[in-house]
Amino acid sequence: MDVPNQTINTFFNNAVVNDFARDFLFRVESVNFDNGVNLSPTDLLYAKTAKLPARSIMNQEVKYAGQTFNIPGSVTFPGSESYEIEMYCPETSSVRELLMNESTRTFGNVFGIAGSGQAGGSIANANSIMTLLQLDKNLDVIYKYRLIGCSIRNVGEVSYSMAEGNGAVMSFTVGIAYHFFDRTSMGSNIVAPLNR
Amino acid sequence: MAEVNQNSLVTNFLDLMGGYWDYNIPLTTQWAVAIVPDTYDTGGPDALFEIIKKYTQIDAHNFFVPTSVQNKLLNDNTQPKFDGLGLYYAQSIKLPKEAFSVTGAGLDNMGGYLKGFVGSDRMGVSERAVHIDFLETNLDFVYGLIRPWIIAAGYRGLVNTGKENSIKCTITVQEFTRERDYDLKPTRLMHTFEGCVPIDVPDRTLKYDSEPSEAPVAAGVTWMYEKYRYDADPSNSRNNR
Repeated sequence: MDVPNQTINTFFNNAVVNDFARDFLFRVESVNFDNGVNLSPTDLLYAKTAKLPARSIMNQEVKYAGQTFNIPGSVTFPGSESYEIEMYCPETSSVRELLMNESTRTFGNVFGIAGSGQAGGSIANANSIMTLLQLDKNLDVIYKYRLIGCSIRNVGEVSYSMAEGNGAVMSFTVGIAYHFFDRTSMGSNIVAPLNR
Repeated sequence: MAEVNQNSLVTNFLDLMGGYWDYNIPLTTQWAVAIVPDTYDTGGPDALFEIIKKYTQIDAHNFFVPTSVQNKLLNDNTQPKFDGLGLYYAQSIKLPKEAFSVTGAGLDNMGGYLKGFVGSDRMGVSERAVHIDFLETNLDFVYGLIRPWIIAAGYRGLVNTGKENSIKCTITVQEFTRERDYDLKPTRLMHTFEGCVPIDVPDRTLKYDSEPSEAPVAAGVTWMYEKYRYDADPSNSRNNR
């Protein structure tokens, strides 16, 4: 049997042509909470880390004659209950305070009022969208992910260190839930997303 | 199509399950229910409410479901594909069992002989029921329609008086499954329950606790039915989806 065409040389040649995805070639373009806070690309310059979300098919086991067969079931979106973005905290805390306002709009503890959306109530509808961009090394968008039905879950704490601090830049984590996502390919000669 | 290997239980099982649509394992979450009043054909979705109102006037002011609320419970948004009620609100459905009782026949003191079997009644009225869980919404389907429906049926009784004045409905449950050939979402089973009336809604408990991790569901609205049928021929039911 021939060795597959997976040698050091072919790896090198392919790497030169196709390069690799780099950990900084990613942007959170926008976060729009319907009838609530909208984070612009400028606000989201402070996004430090974020993930391209996952999609998972549930596994169903079928047993027969002592053998387990793994059958595909329906879909889940792991982490969709709280998609996390780590953000720098500006000196004015503007981005964090915007997100705090969104959290308070979603449920206000003083009067027990759950916030307003286009359809009434704070349930995230299809107009609440977070847009993620996957970039190539020319900073051109290759894939756009839209997380549909965003609503805020967690605005993380900021840890100051007054006595022993060394001027480190503060950051915090925000958790945003979504229902599902769709994908759009923006470049040419790349795999076209199957959306159905 | 995969070739069936008759010599191995395991590969034969795999070939059948994976190679033939007919032996695929179905998905259990892909289903939809439609509740269509008998009066729908002649009077539209509001006709049932009009009948319910006539009887619930006896209990005047005990509950209040204005027409504007009725319209919101029964508009096209809540029944996007089927002509029926509650399609959007249904969260789970328990289909009834089928059974008949068997008794032993013979003499006492038969020694080593076994008694014979004698078939007896089919299942009792209390077992002949469909249970549907409904999602609770701000304008609540159970409080807006099901409870008044039960009260009205209690006064009205279950005597058949023709479709136009009927307080009954037909419940249709379609079970979809994986793609078959060119079909995106074929129906594999279709259950139809005729002469249905809701007869029981459970009680509710409100608590000062944390919000539940799952949306509130009115568990187990019980419907009696007069008769049922099902269509287990996928090639036929495909056309009904």
